[in-house]
Amino acid sequence: MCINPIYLKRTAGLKKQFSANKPYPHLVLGNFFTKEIDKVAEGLLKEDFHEQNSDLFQFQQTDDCKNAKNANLKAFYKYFSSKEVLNFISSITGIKLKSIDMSCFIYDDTDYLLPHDDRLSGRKIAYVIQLGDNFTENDGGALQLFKGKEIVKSIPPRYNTLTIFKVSPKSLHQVQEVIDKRRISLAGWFHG
Amino acid sequence: MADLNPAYDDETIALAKAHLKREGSVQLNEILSHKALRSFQNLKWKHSYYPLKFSLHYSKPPRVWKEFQTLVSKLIGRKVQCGMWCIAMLPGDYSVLYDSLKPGKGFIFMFDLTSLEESCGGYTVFMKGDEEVVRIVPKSNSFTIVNQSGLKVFHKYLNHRARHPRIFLCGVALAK
Repeated sequence: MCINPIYLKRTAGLKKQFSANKPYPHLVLGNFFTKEIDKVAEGLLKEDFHEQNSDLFQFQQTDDCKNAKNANLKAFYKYFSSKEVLNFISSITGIKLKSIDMSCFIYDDTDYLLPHDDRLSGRKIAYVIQLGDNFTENDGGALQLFKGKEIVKSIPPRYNTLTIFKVSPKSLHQVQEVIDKRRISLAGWFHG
Repeated sequence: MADLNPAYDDETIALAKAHLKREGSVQLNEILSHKALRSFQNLKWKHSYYPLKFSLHYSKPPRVWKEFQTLVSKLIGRKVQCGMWCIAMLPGDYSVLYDSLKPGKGFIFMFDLTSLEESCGGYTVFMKGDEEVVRIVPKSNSFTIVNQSGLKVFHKYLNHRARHPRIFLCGVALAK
């Protein structure tokens, strides 16, 4: 398992891009992992998912992948929480990162996550790794970033794309309601 | 109360009052006459949107609001002061239990003009701490009153399966 070498050679450029992106620092990196990610995408579906339903959201989620049953997913967790990855993300974001948490998420038809900013003690960088089908605009499921009340960026799910953003009072975002599709992702936070 | 369904006579209201006192909520179905229902046509809506709190459409209530004030007064058994407004939830609308939301006081009542399947969302949930205590699933021409003392309320996200908006009159009643 490895990050696509193209990205490993471009940390300075990515750092500039991360800081410059609006409405708050973020990056969307397509084709992010090497081919082995396909096995993780298969493996995560074998995990136990729990329905999550509240005023703020509706989706299915696993427990932390640290305790994953599937060997490929467990190996991926180990890699993604390794010094190699932490140092890479730190070098892009300029924030010293020490650990991660990670869960698998499935959003089916009508599932959603309403606007929130992710702020909680220790969370520095939020991330999402899309591991399902590519979505079109009509499928919903986009990660949407706000500036004030306005949605200023929509990031539709695309397979093997890593999205990261800086957690701050400005990092208001939501996951648009999914329309007749299945959105599969790994997501969590890098902690400082 | 000329606009109320005549089936709600003093005896029936007294039973509803006792139920409200005992259970903390009561729902009265087929509450308004057909003529009174027409007063909800041609409302003008204004979208109010605070992403971290709610997305809802508001309108001034039609003249039947006075009937509801009288009804609420009878159900509570005291004179009340009411604030009322009409709300339309379109697909994508919601309200959440945001951080600074305070627990309710007095009674809250809702008169629904539309019915919706629960799977569409758009229903109203009352929470006591982490526990759900009352859920109002929209049912056309139904009136629900809840003693909301100490409760927090949210309106579940209305999803794309809903074929029409949820339209309801909502009011808060405080005893004078």
